[in-house]
Amino acid sequence: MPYWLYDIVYPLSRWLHIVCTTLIVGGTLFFELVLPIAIEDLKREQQLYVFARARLVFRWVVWIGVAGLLISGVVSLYRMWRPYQLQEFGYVSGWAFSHVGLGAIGMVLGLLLTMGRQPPENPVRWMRLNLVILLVVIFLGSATRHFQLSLAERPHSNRQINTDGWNPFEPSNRPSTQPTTAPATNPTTRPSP
Amino acid sequence: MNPVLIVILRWLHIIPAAIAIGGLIFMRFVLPPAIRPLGDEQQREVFLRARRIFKIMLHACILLLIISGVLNSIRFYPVYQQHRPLAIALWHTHMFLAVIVFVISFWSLAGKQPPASHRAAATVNVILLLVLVAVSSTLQWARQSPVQPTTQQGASR
Repeated sequence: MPYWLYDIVYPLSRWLHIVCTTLIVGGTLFFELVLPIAIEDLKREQQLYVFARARLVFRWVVWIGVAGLLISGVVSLYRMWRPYQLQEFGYVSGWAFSHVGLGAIGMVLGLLLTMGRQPPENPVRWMRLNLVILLVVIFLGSATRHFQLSLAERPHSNRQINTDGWNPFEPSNRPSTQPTTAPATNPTTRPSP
Repeated sequence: MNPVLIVILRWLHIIPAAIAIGGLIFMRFVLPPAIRPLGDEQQREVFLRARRIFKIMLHACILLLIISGVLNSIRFYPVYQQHRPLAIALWHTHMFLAVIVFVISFWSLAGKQPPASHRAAATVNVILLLVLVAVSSTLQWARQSPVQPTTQQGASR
């Protein structure tokens, strides 16, 4: 990928990933925590009706969120795939794949809760479980990011590495702007003839 | 700084942001169509109850965002200085937008009754929050990009 395209895609995919996370996490929290209290004074039939309508509208939010998370997640995974193959990234990839795996469970659960005409038994309890899963997923994502950055910022003896592990694998695509004090050629003490 | 603390600080910045943005979008775009079939009085009652709980949540979120944001800024400010002027400009924009969003939130959630233009305020806040997240994503990209020789010299002066 050319560096100018990477400079556009990277912030954009990060933005998309965070916005879609907020849609699902904030919406789920509102759905399971705020909505039941807000409608508790209504009659039972009205409660069910409001809940069903909210679920119908929230379905779109979940679908858009899941689609955005999948797109931005695939972009991030594509970007980090080669660094994750390296031995030194071993434990970071462990955190990353836990984030991906648990995130997939959270997304599937979110889709199952909003798909179909009828909600499952105890939808609020399932939403609560999903919220806990999503909070753990965000924690795993934060930890992955931190370990990735701290590993990539560590000095390496024979290669230059960017903080996200992108540069060393496509050195020809991006001009190096790092200042250097090293002379262009090795100095020699050999006496001239 | 302790790695566990760094991860927790990052987590404590993302979670409140997620709750604030997602909750605001739910409150503005999901709740009104869900309660539309109810009578006017019941609609108002449900909305006010939801608003009351959301207010408590949002105030807690703002507190957490300020604490984690200040600590993150202290930690990263030297890096931002290395990447000036872009990183510093983005950081100031992030702060400026955050203050505007907080002021609009406090204003629209103050009192027992919402102000007349609370829907417009919520829509403006959603747009500002999306811009704010975009600025913060770009700031992180700027922080990770290689240091330009000219900017590094400027920073070391």
